Parts: sequence; C-alpha cells; structure tokens
Amino acid sequence: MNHPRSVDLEAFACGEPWPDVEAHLHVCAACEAFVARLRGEVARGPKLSPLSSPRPAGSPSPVLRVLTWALPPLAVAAGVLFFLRGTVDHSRGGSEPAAGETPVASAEVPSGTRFKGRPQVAAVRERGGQQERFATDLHVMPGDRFRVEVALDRPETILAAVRGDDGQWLEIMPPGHRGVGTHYSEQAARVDTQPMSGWIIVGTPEAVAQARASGHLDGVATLRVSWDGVSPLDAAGGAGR
Amino acid sequence: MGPLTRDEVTVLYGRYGALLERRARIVLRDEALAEDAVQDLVANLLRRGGAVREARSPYHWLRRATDRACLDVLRRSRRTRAALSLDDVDEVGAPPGLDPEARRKVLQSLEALDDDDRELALLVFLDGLSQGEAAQELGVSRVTVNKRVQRVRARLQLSLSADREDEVTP
Repeated sequence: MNHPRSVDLEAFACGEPWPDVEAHLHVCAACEAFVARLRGEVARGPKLSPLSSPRPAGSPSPVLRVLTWALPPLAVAAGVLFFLRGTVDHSRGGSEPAAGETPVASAEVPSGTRFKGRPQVAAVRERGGQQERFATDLHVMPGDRFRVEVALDRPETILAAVRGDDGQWLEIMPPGHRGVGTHYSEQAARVDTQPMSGWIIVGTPEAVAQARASGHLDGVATLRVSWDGVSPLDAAGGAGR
Repeated sequence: MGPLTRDEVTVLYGRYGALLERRARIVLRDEALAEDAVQDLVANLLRRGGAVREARSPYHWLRRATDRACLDVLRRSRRTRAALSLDDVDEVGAPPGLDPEARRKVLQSLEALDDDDRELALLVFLDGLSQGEAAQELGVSRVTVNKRVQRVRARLQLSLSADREDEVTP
C-alpha cells in the first residue's frame, strides 16, 4: 500500500485540509494511528516561546536556557455557565463567577494578514482545577467545564456551538465578526452527570445553520466531544441488578 | 516577500510549533541545538517569512525552513552534540512505509554527509520522498538527485561498515 508522505500527514495533523490523506486514513490503520500520535503532540502544544526572547539568526545561544510553555494561562471567564445534559431538554444554569475570575481577552492580529485554511478549533477543559487543551478529541466527564478556542487566519463572522449526538444544541460563542488571531468563548459549557457526546462546530452562521439542519459537518470546523465518565447507571450497578 | 509580523508568527507558531519543534529535535537529537534552530527559524520569519502567506501549505513551507535552520545550526555548531537517542526525542516514531532502522541510521550519520547531501538525505531517507519529488522540492534535476542519493548510500555504508569493523577486535 502506498502511504502519504510524512509531511502531508503532519500537515493534516495540524489541521490543514488534505482530502487525499483524509481518505487514506479511512483505509489505513497504521497511518491513522500515526496521525493520532501526531495530534497528541499538536494538542500538547509547542514547548518554547521563541518570541519572548528573540535572538538574531545565527547568534550564540545563551548558556542558561529556560523552556517556557507557550500556552497562555486561561482564566475562567466571568459569566453564565451553561449546563449540558444527555437528554433532549437542556437548561441554562448560572453561577456566580468565582473570585478572581476575569473575562478572557481575544488575541487579535491586524487585518490584511491572510493564510490559507479553515478556522482551527481547540477546547480548553477545566477538570479538578487543572486546565488542559485539546486540539483533537475532547473527552468529558461530570463536573468538567470547557471553553472553545478558535484560531482565525482571516477576519470572519463566526459562531461556535456544541451539537450533541442526540440533537441537542448549545451556542457557546455567539455570532460576531472576529479578526485574525485566537479567540476564546466568553462562556464555558459545564458537563453534568448525564453522558454526552457530540461535536463542537465552528463556522460562519450560514455554514453552522446548514450543519445543524443537515447533520453534515463538511462546511464547518469541528472537534469531537466524547464521554469519558461513568454513567450514573453503571455507577449504581445497573438497573435491576 | 518581506517580513512577518510578531502577531503573524504567534498565530503560525501556535498552530504548527509543536511539530516543528519535534522536527528540530529529530534532526538534531540535541535539545539545546533544537532550541537554537527554532530561535533561528523565528528570527528568519520575522525578517523575511512573508512567502508563507502564499504557500499552498504553510506547514510544508515552515518545515522546509525548519530543516534549513537545523542544518545551519549543525554546520556552525562547534561543540560536540550531546546526541540523544531517537527514542528519547521522538515519541511519535517513524511514519508508515518507512524503514525505521534506515531512518535512524541516516539521522545518526547526518554529520558525516556533505552539506549538499544532508537536505536531500532528510527528504529521501527521512521523509520517504521519491527522487522525482526530491528533485522538485530542491529545484534540481533528477540526475543530480540520483547522483547524490548514490553518494549518500555509499557514505552510509562506509560509516556502517566502520561501526561494524570497530566492534570486531582481534
């Protein structure tokens, strides 16, 4: 079997559109596993912050090196928490923002910058006080909160929503015109005790509406959300056991 | 093509930096030198990285730039590398279809190759490009690529033989 070039697999793992690679992964377990490992690296993010102390090219490196994590600290935003349930009915709940919580500012790049590609979607999950970023599959369990991170390479009007496999819908980033750069949803989604799985969907309002209506996710950027917790039924030993 | 702004580099590095760092660690097998290469890459992007805006694949463009930064660091590094094993710097492993042992041996022998041959060796023996693809990538003829590939194969065999001969002591 001919496999795609490794550079194409890596580009795909970074979120670039490579239809041939995507098609190949459906028929090649080895490449699928390789891309999954690459996505794990991508999800962990770069270790260095080269822009924090740029040096002229070719200059001697300092004796002391400090590796800093490039991911910025993400404060939990003030605002309403949304509750996601496994049943069709979902309700919106609110809680007072915790002390010290501040809204997250978006990092915007001046317009006119244009790279090629779709919006890049990631999720930042808070579990037990620990925050972790996911660029591929997001696994959730009861008590988790997660926020959506969207990187745009051109100014665009977008919105982000969570679409459950059971059809439930939660808009987590309202439609708005956003510039080039990285944006975080102002509000977090909170997972309650019911199992849930679905997709985080990001795109223009038209594309997202189309995806919601048709169930096809071709025209939007997505991130899979999967249940990681124990269902109440299993925890209770199962009904009738 | 001009420079990139710091914000543009921030966006690119946030998206691609993890795998570019992996590439640098694999090619150099030295954390400190890999960091140097990344610093050089970023400095070059800030000076004249504008061409990436028009690239069909920003990642392809950035990875080639990373390779060149790594080879520059290798060329000017005067200290002995604290070369780590490939397993220590790369948890992902070799891509499917590539001989992992050949990949390992090429990386261990990179310093033994001529400057002109190193980039080709990465493309052909590390990334699995065909000679035609490598010729296109480097902007040279297939004949040139073929000659260099033969040269690299001969050089690697020599170094491999030397290692095996060293192990056999009278």
